[in-house]
Amino acid sequence: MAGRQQTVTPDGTAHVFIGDSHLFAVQDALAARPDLAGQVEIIQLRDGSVSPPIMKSDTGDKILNPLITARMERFADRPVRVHAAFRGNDHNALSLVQHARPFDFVLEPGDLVEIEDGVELLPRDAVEAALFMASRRVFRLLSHLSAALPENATLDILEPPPPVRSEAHLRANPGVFDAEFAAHGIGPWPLRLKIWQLYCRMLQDHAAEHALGYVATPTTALDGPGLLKPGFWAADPTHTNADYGVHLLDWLISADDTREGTYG
Amino acid sequence: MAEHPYKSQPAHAFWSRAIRDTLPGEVDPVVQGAFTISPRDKVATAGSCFAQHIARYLSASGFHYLVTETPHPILPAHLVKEYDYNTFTARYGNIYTTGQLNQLFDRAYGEFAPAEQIWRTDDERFIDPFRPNIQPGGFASAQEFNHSRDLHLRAVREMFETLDVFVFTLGLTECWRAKADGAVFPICPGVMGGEFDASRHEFHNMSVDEVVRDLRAFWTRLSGVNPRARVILTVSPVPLAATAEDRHVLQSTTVSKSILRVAADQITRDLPAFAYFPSYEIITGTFSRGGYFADDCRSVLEDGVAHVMGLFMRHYTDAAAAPSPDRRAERRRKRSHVRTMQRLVEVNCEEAALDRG
Repeated sequence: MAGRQQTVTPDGTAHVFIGDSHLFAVQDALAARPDLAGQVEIIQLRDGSVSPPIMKSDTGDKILNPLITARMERFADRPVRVHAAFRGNDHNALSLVQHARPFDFVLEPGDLVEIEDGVELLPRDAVEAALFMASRRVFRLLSHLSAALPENATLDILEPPPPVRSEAHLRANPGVFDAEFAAHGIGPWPLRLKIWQLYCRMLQDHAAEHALGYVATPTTALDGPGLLKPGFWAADPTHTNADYGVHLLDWLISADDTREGTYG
Repeated sequence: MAEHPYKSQPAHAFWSRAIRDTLPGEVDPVVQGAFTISPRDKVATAGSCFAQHIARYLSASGFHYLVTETPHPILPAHLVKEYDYNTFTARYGNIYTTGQLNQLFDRAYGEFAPAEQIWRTDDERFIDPFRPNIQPGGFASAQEFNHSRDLHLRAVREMFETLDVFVFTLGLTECWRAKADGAVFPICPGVMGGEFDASRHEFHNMSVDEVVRDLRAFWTRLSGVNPRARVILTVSPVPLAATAEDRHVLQSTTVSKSILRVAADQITRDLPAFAYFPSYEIITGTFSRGGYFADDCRSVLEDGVAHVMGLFMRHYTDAAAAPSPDRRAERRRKRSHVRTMQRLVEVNCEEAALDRG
């Protein structure tokens, strides 16, 4: 496992991660870094310990599960940065597998997309609406988390990892998508990258609108076009490995808030 | 008693029997359809907003309502209507005038390329002047705009070439057009996009002769690509929202609808492929005492639509032969990819947890 054994949280800030399967990489990294245990908390929504994350209060209002709030309050004596990594694979529902009615879209109004025969160019607004529908639970969770944030905590959105470029890797590690890959093919990487970028922009817009921070993928984890570097691929089509967790943890904890383009 | 032509006229020819002595909901000015639409016939619709009801009823009744421009399956269901899919056979929005109809045909076949093709908004969005309502907020880029228009015009060609019955609702005679090349807009530039410029745009109010000439020209075009096509004309009962003439809107409504009704009468007398369906008469007839209009005296109530469509289905369709519509199955089919992928993504994330033991 790669990663620097550095002194962590030099300013004494504690880090609370909350989210779904993308946090497994961070959990694995943390297992290899016992020195962080006192300053890092991971609230994993997939392990059933805080299920459901949103529940009804006595008055019938929907609130964040109090068990989550309690775990955030573990670090009452110091500043806390809460990093939200809710879901984070909804963009893959639209683009990982080639759609039976292939589509593309223009991400930037000035861009020119090369359209092959049989590929439909969809309005960006339509793709964004589809992404929002697929991921609306993320925005609900963020809203509830914001509302329940302890006074000593700030919240930022942890960008989901970018897609893997290599079709060979995806075919070799198809996981549950085996049949879909075989039947329809893998979505072209430029489209997978654009859908992910569009999703990230939606998250950034949400962060800006609600005065939240935004943690972009470490630039050191990206290849030239902006996809995930091979050393961080997991043995499935959508997740990252433990090395990525280490990299992210180091990146987050050592990050200077003024470092351009990384820590929003 | 002397014999005279009225002696042999049927009951429906007499006001007393056809209207005065008939319950309002049973008034039937259709009498007999010109032909019968079978469940296999592909029915396309276009025209003013009233034409939308025909689409709705036909597809809900198991008939083959032709749709050649379908939403991409990833588009969320609640946006399908907002993006103006399935409102008509293709995504052309309201076609209020016969001039618009012919120009749509010509644009689809590359016979007409209007000089004013795009309206740009202040925030750099792109609006289609010939269907300004089909894309909420307009298109984000010129490439999106051009691609969507090309797909649309291809869908229009497919419609004209494959339809069996074309139902067209005549809506207006008043229109706005480009001085340079006569391009007819569905709505005055500046109202829902674009910018009105008196040096480039002009008002025009069509005459009976112009409407008849347009409909003849349309038939020449349509029969040229689809000789078996039949056309059902209706006149929209919806009054004008506003007139550009220097007179009361009620006068303009009467003149406009009268011109359209006379033109429809002339064309159906001359061209056997054309039939007229009296939705205008059913909604505006005095027998309902205005009861088919909402409080604004303009919007048509569902009772009125039901009366119109009940008669349409009775006289123009073989309703007994129509299969039951299975719209749920259709929706399932269209959404299957995204739903399947959402489920698999969820399973994938669950498996990532299980893999950890």
